[in-house]
Amino acid sequence: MDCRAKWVAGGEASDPIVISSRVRLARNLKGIPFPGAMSSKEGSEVLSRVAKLLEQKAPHGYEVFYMAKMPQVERLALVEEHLISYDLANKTEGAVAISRDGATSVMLNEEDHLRIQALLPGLSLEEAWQTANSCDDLLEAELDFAFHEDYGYLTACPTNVGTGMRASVMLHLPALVESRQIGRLLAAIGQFGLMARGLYGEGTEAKGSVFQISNQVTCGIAEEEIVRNLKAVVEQIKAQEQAHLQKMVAAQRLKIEDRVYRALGLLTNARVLDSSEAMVLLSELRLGVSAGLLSLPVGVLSELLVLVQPGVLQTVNKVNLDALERDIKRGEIVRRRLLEVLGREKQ
Amino acid sequence: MLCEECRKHQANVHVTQVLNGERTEKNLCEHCAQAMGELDLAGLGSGSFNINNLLAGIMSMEQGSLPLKSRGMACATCGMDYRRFAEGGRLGCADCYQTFSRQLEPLLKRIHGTPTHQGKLPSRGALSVNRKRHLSRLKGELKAAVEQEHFERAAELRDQIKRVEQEEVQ
Repeated sequence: MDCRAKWVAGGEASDPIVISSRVRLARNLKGIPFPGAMSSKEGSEVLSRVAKLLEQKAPHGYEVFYMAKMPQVERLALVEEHLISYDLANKTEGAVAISRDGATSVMLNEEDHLRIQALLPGLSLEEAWQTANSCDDLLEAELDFAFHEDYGYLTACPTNVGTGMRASVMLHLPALVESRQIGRLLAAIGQFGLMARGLYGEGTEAKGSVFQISNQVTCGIAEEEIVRNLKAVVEQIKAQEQAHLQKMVAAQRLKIEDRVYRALGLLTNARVLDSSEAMVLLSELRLGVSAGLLSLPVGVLSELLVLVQPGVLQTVNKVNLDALERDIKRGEIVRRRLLEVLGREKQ
Repeated sequence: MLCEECRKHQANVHVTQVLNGERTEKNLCEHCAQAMGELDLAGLGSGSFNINNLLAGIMSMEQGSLPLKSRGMACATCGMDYRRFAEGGRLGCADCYQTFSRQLEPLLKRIHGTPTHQGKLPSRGALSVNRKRHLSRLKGELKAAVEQEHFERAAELRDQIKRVEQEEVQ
């Protein structure tokens, strides 16, 4: 029972603050209307041309999944692993090609014909850019993309035109949330041509203090510069988070230690665990690791972040479960995985 | 002053938020401020802030000031008309960028600042773009060399520019 996506697979991640880095490139085939305006015949043409190419040409090889042929729960699992978007999951013309190492996924017929994305653990934006870029090179050797001398790569939405590139990082920022610095910080980000949003938010709260920060401007700035800008800002935020965390620990070490170990107690004992409770408690463990109060491999926490999601939970375990059964299964998975790594840490 | 949210407790937190250039100010009690902080963040994730809505908003604003003729304009290749684009925020095909270029130009400026692509060029069919870029870079360097009175370098650059321009003619 494992995840496919490289940012979580195998528990390789080691940064408690920067969970993952992603680079996405939007591309469209010359001579075919964008997905929003194309016929279903044209949609099939995009699928057959690009999917075939990826399956044949790519060095690691790609596996292609067609949305129309996948059960809903498996599509949901791909969304939860961040390999596809929620929009793609609901498109009958849609497909995704995923590299065997789980680092690259190419969404087909989402808002644009192609959305090439590379997703890696930790702060690894340069590597993500190189990975996405080499996939783009590979496709570009055989395909003609819609390109304009001034505007650059043409996309269905003018917000993506130019490089077609969206670089983003997923950050865990509990100390900035608790010290109420987060609002100010996220507002300031706009001045650097970046935008921020809370992830895993449902209804009234941003669960687990996870935020995504990405570039807003895609045209008039080269890819390497987008990466450099974002990386510089993320490093600042990371330093801020660390500073606030240290301040918190210095002021109330026992209280925070108590919180972290209570979370560990619950996660290693709970018999029924719903996903929002799991997210909040896992965030507490991550905070504990970040503050140096708890010794646990960060990779396991990233992996559990995905394994507790309802779609992945059912797909990986190959069962259809109702809500209560899911909560029971979730408790079992978290408990088992944590006890296993804690046992290893002790030895 | 009472908190603008609960209207029960004393407001002792002043919140200023700048989101996409729009400034909002609120006077809140400590409790509501904390709750609001989380509320706002969740809001960012769940659709209240959505780049496409924002875009559609900007465009429908601009649509009002457009002459009637361009409101009914349609792309000859895919049939997309400007009204539909303004509502949905999506273009229909690559040719729409040409069809609606006059309307798109100010919009692209607003989104991206300078809507002139920098960065990667497609390996196929980008020869002329590459050459143009190369030329404008050389000309920039030439100007700088002359200003700094590096005349030897300037002469080199002038020859290089001539060569590239000749290649283009051929």
